[in-house]
Amino acid sequence: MKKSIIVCVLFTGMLLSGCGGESDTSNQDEKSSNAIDTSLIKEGMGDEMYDRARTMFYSMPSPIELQTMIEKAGGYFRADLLHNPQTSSQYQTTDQQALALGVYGTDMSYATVFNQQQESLLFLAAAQRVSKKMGIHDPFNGALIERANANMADKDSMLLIVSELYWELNSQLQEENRNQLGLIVLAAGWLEGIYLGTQIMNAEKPEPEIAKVLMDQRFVAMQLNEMFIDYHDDAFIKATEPFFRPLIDTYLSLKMDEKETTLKESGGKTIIGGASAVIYGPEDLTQIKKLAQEARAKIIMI
Amino acid sequence: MRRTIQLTLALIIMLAGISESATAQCKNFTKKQCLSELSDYTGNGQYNGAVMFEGEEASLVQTFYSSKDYRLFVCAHPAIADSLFFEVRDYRKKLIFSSKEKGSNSFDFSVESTQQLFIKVAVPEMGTANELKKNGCVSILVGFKDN
Repeated sequence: MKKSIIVCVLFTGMLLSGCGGESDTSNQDEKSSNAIDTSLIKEGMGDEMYDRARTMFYSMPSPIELQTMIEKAGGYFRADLLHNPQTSSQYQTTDQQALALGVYGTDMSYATVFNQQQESLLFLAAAQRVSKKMGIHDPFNGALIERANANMADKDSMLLIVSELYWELNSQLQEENRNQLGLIVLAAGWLEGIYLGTQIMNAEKPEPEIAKVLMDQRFVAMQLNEMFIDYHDDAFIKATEPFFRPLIDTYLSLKMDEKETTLKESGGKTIIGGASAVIYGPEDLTQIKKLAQEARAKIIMI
Repeated sequence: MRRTIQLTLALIIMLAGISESATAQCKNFTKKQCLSELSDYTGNGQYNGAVMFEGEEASLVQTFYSSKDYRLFVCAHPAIADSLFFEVRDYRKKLIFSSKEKGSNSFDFSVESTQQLFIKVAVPEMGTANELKKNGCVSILVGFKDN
């Protein structure tokens, strides 16, 4: 009986820590949620607090954000670069499915940003097929698919729908404490974005704006690196991280030119200047392109 | 003994239900009360929501691209909304924005060069007894648009 009560108490602690439930602050150090890590505030929010606190949310820019940047930088649509949506039903293992979902999600974003309506819907359907296999149903409720069909000619509406879809996907994975899966979907989507960007870029004479967008991915690589470190003991992450590691490490090897941050106000918003810039040369672009191509070929393999 | 095991399992299932329900409520709260605050900004598709108690803090690291306008919005349940505050710092931890100073739960900004920013949300202690500590859902939302 005593043993059962201990089991109950332990489980209570674990479950309440997962949702930030009705526990008092004396139990804070027992919290083990992957989604949230909180700590007591004792002396305000000084620098020491920032250094001590463990980061809990690593929120990556969405594939739409990257694709709109590439579009603005002079990118264009190339259907031949996209993954085959017909293969979506052939991914059998969870890691294959998570990788494929990330790829299809970015292809859908790419097609949407470049206003390719039929392709957007094809990749929406492919993402839906893979998601359902993974038990992810929330993002693809009837209303969202209907809205996509009804608004496919309206790029802004489609971008909102894709954004909502990502939100539903991420929130369901977090809700079900499947953050590792979410991480791999994000990482695969990121890789696909770099693959598309490097393939679009002129190999002989890279467009400086596109090159800059791609090399700025060093910041996202830093975030991914931290996330992979957080989950380094997880078997699922151990099996999938190697696909991304060469690309992440190459990004991390790039030097940064660090400047003092400046602030100014303009039109009701703050403009943050200064900060750091990534230093790179043509050989770095070539290497990133090669690694992205190799990694992409591996993650879409059936 | 068998009865004890059954009771234990029942309790575990019940508590698992409570846990999932709290998370689901937070998601619904964000959906209904918060997402619209991004207005004409497109959400970045990330769900950063959790239940927070007084005395707790949460943080977020996010990459922001140059040539985009961003809105950072911290949405909280009324039980803790008045006391909650957030700060934005650069990579050197230099303070860029404090909601306490500005009296606003949203921050509109752009960055001249792509960079990571650190966002910290805190619910200060309100002097409530441990068993009565106030709590509520908190969501950190990020929206973007071309500038």
